[in-house]
Amino acid sequence: MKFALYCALLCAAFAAAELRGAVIVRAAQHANIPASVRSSPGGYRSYHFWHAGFQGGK
Amino acid sequence: MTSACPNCGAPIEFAGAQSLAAVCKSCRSAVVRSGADLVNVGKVPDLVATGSKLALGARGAVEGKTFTIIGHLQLSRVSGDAAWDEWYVSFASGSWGWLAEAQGHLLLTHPRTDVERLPGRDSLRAGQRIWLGKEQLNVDEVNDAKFVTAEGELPYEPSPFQTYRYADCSDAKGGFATIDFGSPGDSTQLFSGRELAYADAGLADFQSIQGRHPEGHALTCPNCGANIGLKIVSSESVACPSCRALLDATQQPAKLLAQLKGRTQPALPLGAKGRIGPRELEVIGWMNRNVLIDGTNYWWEEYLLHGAAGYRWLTVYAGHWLFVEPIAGGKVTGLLEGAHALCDGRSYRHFQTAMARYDEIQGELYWRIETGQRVQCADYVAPPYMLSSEKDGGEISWSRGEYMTGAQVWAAFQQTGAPPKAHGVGAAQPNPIPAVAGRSWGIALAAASVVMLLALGFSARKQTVLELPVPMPDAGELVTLSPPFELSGGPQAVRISARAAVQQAWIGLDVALINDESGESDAVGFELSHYEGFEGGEHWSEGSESGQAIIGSVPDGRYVLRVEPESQKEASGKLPPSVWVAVERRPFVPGPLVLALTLIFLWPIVLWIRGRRFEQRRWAESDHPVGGG
Repeated sequence: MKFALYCALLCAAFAAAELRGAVIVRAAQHANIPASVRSSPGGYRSYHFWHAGFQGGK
Repeated sequence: MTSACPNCGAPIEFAGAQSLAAVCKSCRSAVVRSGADLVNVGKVPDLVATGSKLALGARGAVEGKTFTIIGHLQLSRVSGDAAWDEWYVSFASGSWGWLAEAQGHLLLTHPRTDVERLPGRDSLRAGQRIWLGKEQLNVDEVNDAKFVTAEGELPYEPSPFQTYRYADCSDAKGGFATIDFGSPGDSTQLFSGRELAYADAGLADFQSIQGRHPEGHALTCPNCGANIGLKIVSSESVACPSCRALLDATQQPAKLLAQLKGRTQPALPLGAKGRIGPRELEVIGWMNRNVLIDGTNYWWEEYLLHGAAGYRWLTVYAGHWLFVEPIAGGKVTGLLEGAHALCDGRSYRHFQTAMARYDEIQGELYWRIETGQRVQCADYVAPPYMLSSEKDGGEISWSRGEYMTGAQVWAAFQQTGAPPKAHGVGAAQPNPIPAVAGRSWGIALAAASVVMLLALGFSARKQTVLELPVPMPDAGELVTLSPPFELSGGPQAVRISARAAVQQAWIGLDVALINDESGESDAVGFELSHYEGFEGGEHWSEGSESGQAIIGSVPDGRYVLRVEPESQKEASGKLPPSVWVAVERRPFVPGPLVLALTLIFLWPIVLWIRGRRFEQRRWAESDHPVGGG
């Protein structure tokens, strides 16, 4: 009975996670871009975002 | 027909048409019919005390057919055990048979002549399965009996020195047969019938009126002179409670068999009375037994119980109890020694076979025990049941035990205090895990189905909100910005994917999803690459022309996508002029699904492992210790 309740809660938690678009492992690097960058023309182009640092190749 | 005894003149009655001989009540001469005359063939000894409840003149009925006991034969094994009783019965219909008493049951058999080919005695051994006509039976015992004495009428001429060879057989339906090979030179006869309760034969309330079978009697210990009261008159062995001498109770005076050692106090005291199921039982005997396996002695205890239905047992090993009832060997079918057995439709797996011996005895037993006696014990288990055989020379006896906890035994016998603590896992102890695990698997499968359906439902809502060609830089790096696009109905997951036909080259994409209103950004990076070639004559390839990244819980707002590619190719490589990048909202995200399924199935898997562990512990002390082999 306890396990049935546990499973029911798990189903509810899963549904909530799906509704919110949650991910388990966050791969994205979060940052806040200053308003000055947003307001300047070409600001997004020149602003230094996080880089993955590709090595490439086989 | 009534005649006069040729020895003393006393009247001798022949009530049975098939009766050939009779014993004179007055002078105990055995007389045989010879035409119209009676011939005296000699005197027979006095009757010996047994535990029989029956007597001459007793009337009963089986399936509406009435009978009268008109004769009584007492036999014993040639090896010298105590006598047992066989009653010669005459039916009102004119037929006749034998009514034998065996540990609280009756065996009613009739002579049969319809089976033409009977096996020879030398071809039989205990435990063998044979065909008698169309019936398959199990040979329970192959042995020799000797005439002890008789009373009343008999269907043959008795002889005080006569021995009889016989084989007792049983079948799975309670059928019983005796192949009577008689004395050397005699023809073989077959008697068959079935096991009955006294009530089935209309004899439940019959008590001998002759007082020849008192309930219990007393004897004197020849070792210490103590008076020993027997609870059951037919007990053949008794241990003196004063000096621990083991006595042959069939002899008067009692004969010393051995001086026992040990003063163990049985956990369940002798004389304790209790009820197991419908049976009222009393503890009348106790034994400590052991087997020697790989140089290690393993001890267990056996309590002999007696009640109206005969003898039963309680055995205990390491605090695990079994309530044991004897069963006919014929009920055990499909026996493959050391592997498995079938009984009453249940399949049992072999647990252990070992030579067991008696170490210590208290109270009384219904058989004459041999000191140092070793018998081959084999156990087969189908928890909570255990099927056991004991093979001793020409006899194999089967019993079936059902697991009981110490608390159940204590409650049944109204014992105070706590029973001995159980250790480890009992051979027939029910594994409590599978039932719980079965329910858990059911619940888990139902929950997993719900989760999968939810996942399918949510993934159906996915929608592409942006497709963007990202030109590749001819040299150095080039940043591409998408036009602004709206995300609404969130928060929600967003998948950014890319595809490009790369050959012997790689493209790295640094992608940032920027909320143009709040400035919040999430940056991800992924790589497209594809290489192939030949090595050692075999083609190989690696990499993928597509890639993706998922950003979770993205709030509503106006967004731009910033893509910054970099690339490299080999001399023979090829890079496309642009990469197609797409943004998809509410994609299928595998992580939560995998986590949910893992958490759902974790508990059933833990239970399964615990159930396996329980079985491994059960079988660890068996002949098949690796997972029950």
